[in-house]
Amino acid sequence: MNLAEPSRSLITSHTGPLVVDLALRLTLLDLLLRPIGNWAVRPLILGLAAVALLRSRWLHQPLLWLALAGLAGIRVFLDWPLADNHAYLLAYWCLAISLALMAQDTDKTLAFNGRLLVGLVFLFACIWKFAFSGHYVDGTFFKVTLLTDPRFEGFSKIAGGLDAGTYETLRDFVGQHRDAAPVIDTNSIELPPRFKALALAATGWNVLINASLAIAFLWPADRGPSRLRHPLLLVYCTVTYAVATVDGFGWLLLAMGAAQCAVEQRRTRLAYVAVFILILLYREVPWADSVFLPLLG
Amino acid sequence: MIRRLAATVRYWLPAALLTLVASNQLRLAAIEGLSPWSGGGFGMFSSTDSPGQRHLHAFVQNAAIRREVALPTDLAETVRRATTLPSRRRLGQLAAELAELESRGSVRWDEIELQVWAIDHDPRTLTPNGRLVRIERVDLESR
Repeated sequence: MNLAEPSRSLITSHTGPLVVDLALRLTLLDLLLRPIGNWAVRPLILGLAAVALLRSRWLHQPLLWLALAGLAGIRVFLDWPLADNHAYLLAYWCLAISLALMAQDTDKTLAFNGRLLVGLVFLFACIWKFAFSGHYVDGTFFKVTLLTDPRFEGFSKIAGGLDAGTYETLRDFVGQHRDAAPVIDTNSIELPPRFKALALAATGWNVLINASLAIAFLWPADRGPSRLRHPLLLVYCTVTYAVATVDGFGWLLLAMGAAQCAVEQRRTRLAYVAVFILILLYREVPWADSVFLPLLG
Repeated sequence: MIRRLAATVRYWLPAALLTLVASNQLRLAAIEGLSPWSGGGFGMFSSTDSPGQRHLHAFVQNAAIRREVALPTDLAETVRRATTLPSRRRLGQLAAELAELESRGSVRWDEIELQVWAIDHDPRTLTPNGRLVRIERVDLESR
């Protein structure tokens, strides 16, 4: 294989300028809706993103995207090691857009980069979940996180069937702070079967979807599992970001996914836009806390 | 040659950067105790060992006394960076800042000790147990 240009099997079929525009605009919306950086970096990113969204000439300026990549990179550098993974991925993606806009085959370059980046994100996520994290696959991670992460509180109560008292008791138990002296097992608590089943289901779902996404996006384009990459990513974003409100990361994945839609995949493009809006609604309407919990009394 | 290089860069550079940074994150997590959630390795939501779950204890001591140091809110950002990536250099810097504050008192201290802790949970009972991620002692007598 010629290393300079990937073989045809790795390149997605023709996507076209409409798809490029969509991917770029979704990325800019992500930047505007979930701004990153400190007081010095943020106004620059917001300004560039707003101008590019409003003026088509700027939208296709490689230098503008290079500046956005640089600013996202500066943010990572200044915040080291605190920046979340969204900031890193944003820098890579803006760089990919800039490089694609410099090329003659912008659509193919962008689609290729989007596919590779999404595939690698889920590959490394799998490496962490399967190999490096001690207690992910056995369900411990979700049993603990569903109780300790306040973003999951509403979901844990509704889907796990926990009333407020039980939830608080469990949360206080797993959140105890005792360095050096192990907590004595006589204090241990019994998890309700429904909550335990929820944690195991969440683990199984995440293992399955993360591995499927890594395979689908890294498989040679438009063959075998690769054909499932759009539905898999759309389902992943629809389900995951309803519960884990990490909207910026979800929007970025959708922009990278949209960049790979072939010209004739009009419905898929619309689905990407619909899921993008859905994630915005998830953020603005706290469905678990405001809608379902009051209904359950 | 230049065209070939340009093609390589535009197709492979972003993915190469991602792979390089994520591989380095795995290395830092294994060697320096970096939290799986941080550092660009996409280990978020894979472990309960998030930066927010880590904490730090600092002690000053001399031949007669060992006392825990209250961490000033001014240093909250530095402490958060040190607990997320408790490298020797980072903990050394924090120890120096704390030692500077402690040196204003009347007691003379010989050593400052920093402990970074994470919390693990028993897979069967979910009982939380502290896990010492890193301990760093800085001799103050030689300063």
